[in-house]
Amino acid sequence: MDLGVALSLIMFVVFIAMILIGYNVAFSFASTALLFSFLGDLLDVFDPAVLATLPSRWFGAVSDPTLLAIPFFVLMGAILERSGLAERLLSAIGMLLGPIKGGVAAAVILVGTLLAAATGVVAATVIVMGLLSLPTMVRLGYDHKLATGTITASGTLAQLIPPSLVLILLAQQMRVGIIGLFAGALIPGLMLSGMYAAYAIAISYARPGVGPAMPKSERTLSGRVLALEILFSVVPIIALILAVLVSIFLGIATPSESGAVGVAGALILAGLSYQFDKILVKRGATHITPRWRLTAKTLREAGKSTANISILVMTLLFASSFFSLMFLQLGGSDQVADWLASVGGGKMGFVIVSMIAVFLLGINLEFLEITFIVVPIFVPAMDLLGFTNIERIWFTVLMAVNLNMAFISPPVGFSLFYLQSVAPPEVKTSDIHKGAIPFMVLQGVALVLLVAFPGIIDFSFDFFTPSST
Amino acid sequence: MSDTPEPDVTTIAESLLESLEYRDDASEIVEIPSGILGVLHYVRAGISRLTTISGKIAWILVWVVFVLGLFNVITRYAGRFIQQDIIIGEIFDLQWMLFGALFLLAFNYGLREAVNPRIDFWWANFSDKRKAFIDLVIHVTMFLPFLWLGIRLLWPYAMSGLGRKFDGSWSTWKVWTIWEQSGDAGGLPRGPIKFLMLVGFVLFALQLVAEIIKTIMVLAGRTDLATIAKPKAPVRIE
Repeated sequence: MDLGVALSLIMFVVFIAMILIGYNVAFSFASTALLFSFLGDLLDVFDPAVLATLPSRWFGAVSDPTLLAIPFFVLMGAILERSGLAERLLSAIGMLLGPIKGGVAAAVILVGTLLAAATGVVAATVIVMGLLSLPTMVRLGYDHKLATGTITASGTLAQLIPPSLVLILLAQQMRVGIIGLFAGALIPGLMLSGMYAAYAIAISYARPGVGPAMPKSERTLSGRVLALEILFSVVPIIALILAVLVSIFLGIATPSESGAVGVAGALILAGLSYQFDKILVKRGATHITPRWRLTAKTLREAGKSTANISILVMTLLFASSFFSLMFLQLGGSDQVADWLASVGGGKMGFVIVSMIAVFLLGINLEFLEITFIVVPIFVPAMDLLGFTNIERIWFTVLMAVNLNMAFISPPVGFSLFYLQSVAPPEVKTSDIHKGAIPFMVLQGVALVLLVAFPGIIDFSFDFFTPSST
Repeated sequence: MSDTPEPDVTTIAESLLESLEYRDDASEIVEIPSGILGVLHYVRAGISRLTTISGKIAWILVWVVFVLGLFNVITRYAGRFIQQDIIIGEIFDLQWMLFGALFLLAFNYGLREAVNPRIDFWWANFSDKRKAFIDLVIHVTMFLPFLWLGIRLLWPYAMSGLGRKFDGSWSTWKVWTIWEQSGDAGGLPRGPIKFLMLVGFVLFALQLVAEIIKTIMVLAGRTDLATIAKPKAPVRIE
């Protein structure tokens, strides 16, 4: 093996060691890259003049229109969460579906899906649902494992159902069109959500006591008030989601433009909810007191969390672009691409090997690290194997589904941490961990289905992409 | 639900998130060490004040970028409606440039607020001093040199963006006012944003110095800087 390639592989090992001892992930990228550019220069396998291209690479990231969509979709979700609209949505749908067995779990999944389509971030969804639905489900006598698994899994859908931060980053790293990727991921996301709901309801009916129906005494809303509550808290959010997605998929607006409209819509809904509440109270509702939701605090907090996520993502992007430049220059990328292309089985062999690798990494790493570590390695292999555009989108959606598992895989899934931080004391951490397992199995089944039948993603892509014919 | 008062979920979530949040404004620290550590303390407090400003600019820019984005959409569709092109190209450019400014100027804020994730598999069980030691060693030997490299590389890049020619002479004022045009017709000059990349790196390097000072203080026995001993809480990203 030539010296540069060996050096690049050692660089990779050093990087993994650094993040394992707990040094900041983004800074580990930059630090190892610097160390090995120095070593490469000493050993005469790297020309430091190449480093002069770094500023223009960074500038490329700054001026990338795809990434401009990030703040809008994060902000839109943050407004819905901070203003309390997400919470209203959840309680209304809970009341609606409560009477059937497993109904509250199904409501959580439905709301998780809706919020996923309204926001690109997982934390907000899991925390809101964990605070509101978990105590309810515990009180109703739900099995703790089913309750927690439902919340973590459906909250995680936010990263698969467009618009999503993960999809935007994957599109940028995989070099596929963001609209096409959104289109390709929509049906797989809905499919997963349908599988969760079917599972939750089926197990509630099959095993008594796992997911009891809401007793009459709990159902405080009924009749006209419930209908009004649905009309005012559920319908507007669905309309907002449809407006954003339709405008993207019909090619009316670019993702960042739709995001801007989505933020405006979320602000309007938060403002209008005060009027809606007053109407509800006038019609005899007692469960709410009208309050103005669009406070300065809401706006400040929403802006702050949006800024934090933007900073986080861009720091990682700047640092990892130096790392992948070094990995490419030292010859590591070509070598790994060769290996991946020669595992046999052509494209399918590559897909299977890479999916297994991502799954194994996902047990211990999180989506951000995986996206920035392995995707730059996969891309040259895909070039070598001659992946077409639609096959790239297929592969990218598979990655996104696979990363869903990383979010809820014990012991270190982000969604599990979020839920742990808000769970009532009687819910044990081990329940949260065990509860995720059935949903990971469902995700695994979905992944196998999507690998075996690429037609699902192709159809989703064709159906939702603006008429390219 | 009507007989028991409904808890205000948003408030609970907020207070919870605040408790997870890492607050360390050096100016809040009351006890000021003596000697060389005292000097370091003031250096750190000064840098931290700068970083706080960066963070505030970032929150404000989020809303400015949103307003510009909305303005773009409106002009685009209003223009289509009245069959006239009233899109202002500068606004589109300004939008991504201000988003760039948002994170470039606030890299330092992200560093201080620890928004960037760590793998805390083992990290969570380390003592404060061990955490400080790991950070100190890698910050000084590898990460600070990276920032130095970044600044070295960005300096000529930013300067050429502002009008310096290859031979080192500067463009005359006439050329200076044109700057380097962006790709789109009627676009804004890109010089300023290239310069902001340099500014961002310098601010980041300054905050890294502040972090290094913090690790030194922890190693010197300060326990009130519990920042590194942040509880094992998920960083609130995605």
